[in-house]
Amino acid sequence: MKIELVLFASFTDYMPAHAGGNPWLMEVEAGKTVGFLIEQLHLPADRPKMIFVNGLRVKEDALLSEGDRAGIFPLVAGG
Amino acid sequence: MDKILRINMGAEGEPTVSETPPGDYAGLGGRALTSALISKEVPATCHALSAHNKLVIAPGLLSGTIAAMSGRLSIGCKSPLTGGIKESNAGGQASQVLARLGYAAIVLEGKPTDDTLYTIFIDKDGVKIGSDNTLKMLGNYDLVEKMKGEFGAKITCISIGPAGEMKMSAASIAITDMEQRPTRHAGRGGVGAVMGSKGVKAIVLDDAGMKMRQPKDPEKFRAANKEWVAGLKKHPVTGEGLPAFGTNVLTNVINEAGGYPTRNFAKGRFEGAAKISGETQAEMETARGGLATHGCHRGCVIRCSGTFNDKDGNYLTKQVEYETVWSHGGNCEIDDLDAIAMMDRLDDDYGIDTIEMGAAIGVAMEGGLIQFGDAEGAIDLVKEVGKGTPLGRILGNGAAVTGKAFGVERVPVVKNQALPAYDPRAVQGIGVTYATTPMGADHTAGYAVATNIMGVGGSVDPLAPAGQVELSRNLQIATAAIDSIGMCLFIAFAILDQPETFQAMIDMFSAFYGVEFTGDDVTELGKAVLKNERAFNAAAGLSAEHDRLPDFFKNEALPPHNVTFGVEDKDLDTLFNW
Repeated sequence: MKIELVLFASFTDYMPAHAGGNPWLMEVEAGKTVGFLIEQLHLPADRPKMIFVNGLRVKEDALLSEGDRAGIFPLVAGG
Repeated sequence: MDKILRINMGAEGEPTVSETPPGDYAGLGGRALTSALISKEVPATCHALSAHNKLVIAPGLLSGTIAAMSGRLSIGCKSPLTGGIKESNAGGQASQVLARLGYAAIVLEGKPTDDTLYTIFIDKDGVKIGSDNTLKMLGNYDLVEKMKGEFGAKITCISIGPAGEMKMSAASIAITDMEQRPTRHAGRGGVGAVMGSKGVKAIVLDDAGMKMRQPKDPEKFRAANKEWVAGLKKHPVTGEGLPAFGTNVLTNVINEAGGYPTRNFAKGRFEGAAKISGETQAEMETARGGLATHGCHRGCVIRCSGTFNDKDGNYLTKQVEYETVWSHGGNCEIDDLDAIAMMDRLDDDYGIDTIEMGAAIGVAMEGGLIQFGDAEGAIDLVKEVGKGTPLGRILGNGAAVTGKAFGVERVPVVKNQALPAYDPRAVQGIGVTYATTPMGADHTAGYAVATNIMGVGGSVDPLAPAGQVELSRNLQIATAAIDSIGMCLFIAFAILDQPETFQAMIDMFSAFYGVEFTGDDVTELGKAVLKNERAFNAAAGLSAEHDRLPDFFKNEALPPHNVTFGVEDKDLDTLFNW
């Protein structure tokens, strides 16, 4: 299944070159979780993260479905 | 900080100066002092621009010390925008300098009978009041240069631009930063109009010859400050995200969460968000020779600011803050950072609240004055405000007045003050704060976004009403205390997550004043501030019916989550039951 993926803030360094800094599509086997994406992208395991799937905040064990959009940030805030 | 400076601007002949001990206000600082004084001394039903109103400028309780992050200044008065009490809070150098000069507060009272424009200069030798009508309608940037020429290169300025002189309800008070640029503003609620009504163009401070305020227990104070700084440095928000990308790091976050108010609160996502994000902005700033990391006052260790240069590499404005990028950007469907930065520069120069200004432009776009997305048209509207044309005076009085002038139904205000950059349907906790804070819609009064969106200080579902009132209540109490101590609100991210950092702040306070301050005392301080503010508002005629969001937030579903604001009125009314 295809997942639309985008990384933000300091995690943009972990985006594949072909993405050119934009959201990109990633082919993932059915039944995989957000944690799998994090491993595949080599995002630092010890950094606190904010993960949104289709605009909803989820944890790393959230299951992915065809066509999902996942956005992953390090923990950032402002205001 | 053992004296209060009162200046009667309405005294016969010329303004008179008196210095008194704090008296009833002993032990208070920042917002606790401004709100106590306003609620005690200002008749709640007076006109905000009348001689009966007072403008109170108070450093926080730890300002002027070596405590990191302690440079926040509170400015209080009856608000010409909301009709209720106002505490508008700013960074910059003034809080530290004023505290070192020994003042717990400056109070401007009365009102001149003619249109003379005054400057007030304060240094170690005392207070000098001058009049100078050549300063009329000068922008804050030129004004500061003139003041430097007159009073020396190392001054700190608290000033108003043309908007304050014209007594617009969205007028701000500018505070200079470390480079003496008038970039930090007490923006909200029209405090600049009240300063304008007192006939004061600038308060100029020079703390040469004054020392840091000394703690009662220096050793304990130093140790607590060290732990405090370490705590701020180790938290990812205050140690990494804010220094690297500034507050505008939130554009992508809130947009991804579907709560980014777009097209005057019609949608929760903006297609152009990536073009105006903090990531893009930091890259642009660095490429143009600006700075992506910069502190607004000495003693800041978070350093969330920066400098924004134009395309030719010349300084234009400070790193534009998230709320401003939103109000002039996504809210107006403008995706051009250069245009947004130009509006930020103009807002700072005219002395006008960037949130209120952007919201007013969004409402004017809804009313058909110009098209959404028209960046040049939006810049021209800001210039109308600076010129004081009839159109500019409508816009400069904020979103509510603009909505009436153009017959617009979707006007995002509470108590006439414009909502900031989080849609309350998709971030319901902040909606509770907007509705109930005594300040009118204000995200900083109880920043539930942290818990709703970032999971800082726990986790509460942003799309559902459950738990939001309790969350907002606790944050509003804590914030009122933080605003009184003089700490930058961004410390909240670290103290909500790290008990040892919260304790370090309490230890610093205890060591400075030689008292045994506890977490419970912080809570009691916050409650006392809110009690004063609520009492003033009740006497001014603001009731439970004013603690509400506009109807459209209950009636129009916000995409992409297609959700309405679900917290019931009866639950909002329990917020201050503690």
